[in-house]
Amino acid sequence: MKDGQSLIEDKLNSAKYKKVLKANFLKPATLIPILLLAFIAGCAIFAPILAPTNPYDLAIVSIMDSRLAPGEVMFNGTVAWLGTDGAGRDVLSAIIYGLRTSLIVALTSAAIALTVGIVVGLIAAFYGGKIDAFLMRIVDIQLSFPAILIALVLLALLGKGIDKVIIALAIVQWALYARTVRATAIVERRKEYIEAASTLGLNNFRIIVKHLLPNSISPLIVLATLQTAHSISIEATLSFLGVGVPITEPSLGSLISNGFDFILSGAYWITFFPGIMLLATVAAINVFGDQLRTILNPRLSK
Amino acid sequence: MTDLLDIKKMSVSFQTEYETIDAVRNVSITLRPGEVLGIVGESGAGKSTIGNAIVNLLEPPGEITRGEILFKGQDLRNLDDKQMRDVRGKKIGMIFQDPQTSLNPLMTIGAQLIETINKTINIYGSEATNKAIELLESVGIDESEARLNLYPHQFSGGMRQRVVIALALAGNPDLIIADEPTTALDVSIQAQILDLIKRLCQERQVGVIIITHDIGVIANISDRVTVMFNGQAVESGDVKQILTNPKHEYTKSLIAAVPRGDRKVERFKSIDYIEGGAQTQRRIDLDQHWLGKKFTQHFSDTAISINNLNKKYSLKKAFLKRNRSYVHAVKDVSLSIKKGEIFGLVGESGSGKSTIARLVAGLVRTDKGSIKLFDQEVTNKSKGKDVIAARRNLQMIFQDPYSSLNARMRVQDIVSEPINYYKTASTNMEMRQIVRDLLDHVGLGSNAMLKYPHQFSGGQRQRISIARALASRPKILICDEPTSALDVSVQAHILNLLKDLQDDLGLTILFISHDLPVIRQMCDRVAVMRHGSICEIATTDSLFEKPQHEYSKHLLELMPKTDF
Repeated sequence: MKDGQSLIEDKLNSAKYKKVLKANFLKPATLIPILLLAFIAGCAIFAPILAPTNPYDLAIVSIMDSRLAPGEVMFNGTVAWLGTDGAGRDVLSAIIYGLRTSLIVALTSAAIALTVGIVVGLIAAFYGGKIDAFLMRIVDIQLSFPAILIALVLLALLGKGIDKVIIALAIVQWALYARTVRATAIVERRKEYIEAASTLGLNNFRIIVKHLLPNSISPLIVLATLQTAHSISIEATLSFLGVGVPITEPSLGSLISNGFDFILSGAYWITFFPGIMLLATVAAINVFGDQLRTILNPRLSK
Repeated sequence: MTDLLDIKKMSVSFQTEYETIDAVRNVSITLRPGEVLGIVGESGAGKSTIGNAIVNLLEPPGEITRGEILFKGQDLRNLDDKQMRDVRGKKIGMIFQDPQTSLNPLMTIGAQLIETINKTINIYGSEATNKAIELLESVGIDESEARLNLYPHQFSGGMRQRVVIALALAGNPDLIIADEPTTALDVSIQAQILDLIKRLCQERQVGVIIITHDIGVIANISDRVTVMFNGQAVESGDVKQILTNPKHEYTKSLIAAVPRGDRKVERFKSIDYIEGGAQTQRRIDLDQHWLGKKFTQHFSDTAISINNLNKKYSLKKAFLKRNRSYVHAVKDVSLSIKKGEIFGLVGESGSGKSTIARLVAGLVRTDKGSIKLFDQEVTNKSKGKDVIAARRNLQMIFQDPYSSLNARMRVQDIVSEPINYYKTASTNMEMRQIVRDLLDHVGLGSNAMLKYPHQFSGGQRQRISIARALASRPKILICDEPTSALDVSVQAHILNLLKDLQDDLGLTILFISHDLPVIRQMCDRVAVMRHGSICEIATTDSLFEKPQHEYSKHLLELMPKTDF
C-alpha cells in the first residue's frame, strides 16, 4: 500500500529530479570537466591535424633539437612551445599523440573488462548457487591482489606492446565490474518481472539480455567512468616502470618516464607537461564521474 | 464535555518550485476523550498528512498553511520545537504502521520502554521498571518481567505492535494517533490489536484517531468517521450512519467497493467515482477473436491436478545433513481444479499458499509429488514440446504491480513480448493491432502503448500485467494476491475485470488471497490452508455458511464484519 505521504514524495521527487538534473549539468563542477574532457578527446582524435610535428616520423626528428627549452625554435623552424625531449621530439606533439595512446588503451580495456564483467556478473546472479559461488571466488581471488602487481606479472609474461597492455588492464578490471553487476542483478533477479518473464516461457538467454541486463547496468556507468581514469593512471605507471607501451608509440606515462632521466639536469619540461596533462585528464574524468553519480542518484545530493 | 482535539479548517500544502500540492484542504475534525475517530480514505487522500500535521511532523517542504489545531484549548501551531516535543511524548502518543521499523532492533524492549518512561514521566530505577512491566501487562503481554530483556526480533508482529502501543501509552497521553496500525498484520492479530486499542481508549479515557484505508477496521472500532477524498473531508459523522446511509457520492462508491463477506454479489456496482476504469468493455467473441484461435484443441476437464505436493525451504545450510534445518512450506497437498473454475486458496501469511502458486507455475522446484496441467505432467520439467505447450497455457498475475513490470520497457513491448517470442502474429502491424486490442479489453486504451510502467498507477499497472498474461493466450491464470497492494475501489475494478475475462474466455483461475471477503466474491471453490497443509476444501457458499474445520471457523469469526 502506497500511502499518501509517499505519493506526495514521488511527485516532489520527480519535480526535484528534473530540477537537480538541470542544475547539476549547468554548475561549474560538471561543466568544466565536461568541457575539458571534450577538449582532451578532441586533441586525441584530431592529433595528426593539431600536432605541430609528427613525433613518430623519424625523418623529421633531429637529435640537434635535443632538450630545447619551452619556446625555443627547432631546427626545421617550428616553435617548440613546450620544449623538446632528449631525442629531439616536440613535447607538445608528443603529448597530443600520447594522449591518444593513453585514451585508446584506457577505453578499449574498459570496454573489454565491462563486457566480460557484465557477462560473468549476470550469469552469477541469474543462476546463483554453485555457479555463483565459483565465479565469485575467482573474483575474490582477483580482487585480493593489487591491480598493479597483476598487471606487472602479466606484462612480464606477455611482453611489450599496446595490445598486451590492453589485455593486462582488462584482466585487472573485469572482476570489479562483475561484482558490481552481480550485486544489482541479484536484487533485480528476485523481482517479479523476472518471474513473469519465466512464466511467459522465455528462455534464459532472453530473460538475461532483455530483462536483467537493462535493469542492472546503471550503477556501472559511474563506475566505468571512474575506472577509466584509474586505468589511465595504471597504464601510465606501467609505462613509467618500463613495461607498458613501447617508446616508439609514447603514452603519457612513457613520456613522463622518458623525461625522468633529464629532470635532474634541469630539463623539467619533458616530465612536467605530460604530468600536468595526465593529472588534468584523470582529475577531469574523476570529477565528472562524481557529478554523474549525483545526477543519476539525486538522493545523494540532499 | 469539552473537545480534546479541535481542528478548524486546516490546510496543508507541499510547495515546490513547480507546483503547490494541496495535500489537505479545509479539514475540520473534533475528538472527545474516550472516543475513537476513524479517518478513512485511499492513497493520496491526505489522511496520513493530517496525523503528521497534528504532531507537527510534516516532512519538508510540507507546511500547515491555514487553520487551527486546538489541543485541550491550546493551539499546537503556536508552540516552539521544544514545547512540541513535550506534547508529542507526554500528551500525544503515536502508533505507526510497521512495528518492524518503529522499534530499535538493537535495544531490548525493556530498555526502550524505560527510556521513554524516564523522559516522559520522570520516574527512574526500579519504579520505572515496574511501570514498564505494568504497561506491558496492560497491552496483554504476559510474563512481561522476563520479556523486558528480549529484543524486538524475538517478538512476533502482533506482539511488537503491542509493544509499540505500550510505548505510546508510556507518557499517559490524552490522545493517540494510530496510522494504519494493523495493515501489516494478519487478520487474527488485527482483531486482537483493534480490541486492545478500543479497550484502552475506554479504560483510560484517551482520544484515539485511527487512520486507515480499511473500512472494515473503521466499522469494527470507531465511534465516528471522517471520509477523506483528494485532500478534503467529504463526509463526517457517526459510523453506523455513514456506513449504512452515505450521503456523498464518493463514500457511496467506496462502500460499494468493499467486498462483502456475508453474501456473493455478481459485480461491484457504482464504483466509478474514482479511477475511471470502467470504459466500455466489449465482450470477446472467442470464435472470431485472436485470443480464441488456439482454443479449438481438446483439453481434459481437469485443468490443474496436484498430487501429494511437498516443498521444503532450507533455513540453515550445512555440510552435514543433521545440522541442516528446513521449513516445510507445503505438506502433502493434493487438489484438483476443474476447467473454467475459479479456485481460491486462503490462509494467513506463511501458510504456503504462494509457494503452491510458484510450484504450479514452475518457478521453484518440487521436492515430492506431482503437478499436472491438463493431464500433462510438468513437475520439475521445463524442456520438451508437450511440457512447453502445457506451460504456455498457464500465466501468473503477481501481487506487487510495482515490481512485476520491467521498468525499462514500453507497455507495448511488455505486452507484445510473448506474441513476439512465440510468433503468434504474422506481421508487426498485426501484433500492434493485437496489443491495442488487449489493452482495450483490460480497460487501458491504446494510448498507453508508448508509455513506460512508471507513468501508471498501481491499478493500471495490474491491468498491464493482465494484458501481458493474456497475450500468451493462457487457459489458466494464477493470481497471487492480485489486489492486496491496491486501494479498495481499484481492487473492485480489477476483480470485476478478472471476472469478465473469466466469463468471456472460460479461464481457469487459481486465486490466492488472505482476504476472505475477496475470496467469497471471486471463487467457486476454496481451500483453506494452514502451516503448509490444506484444512478444508469446500464450495465457497458451504465454507462461508457451514465451515467444517475448526480453523476455518476461527478465520471466519475474525473476518471484519461488513454487514453494516
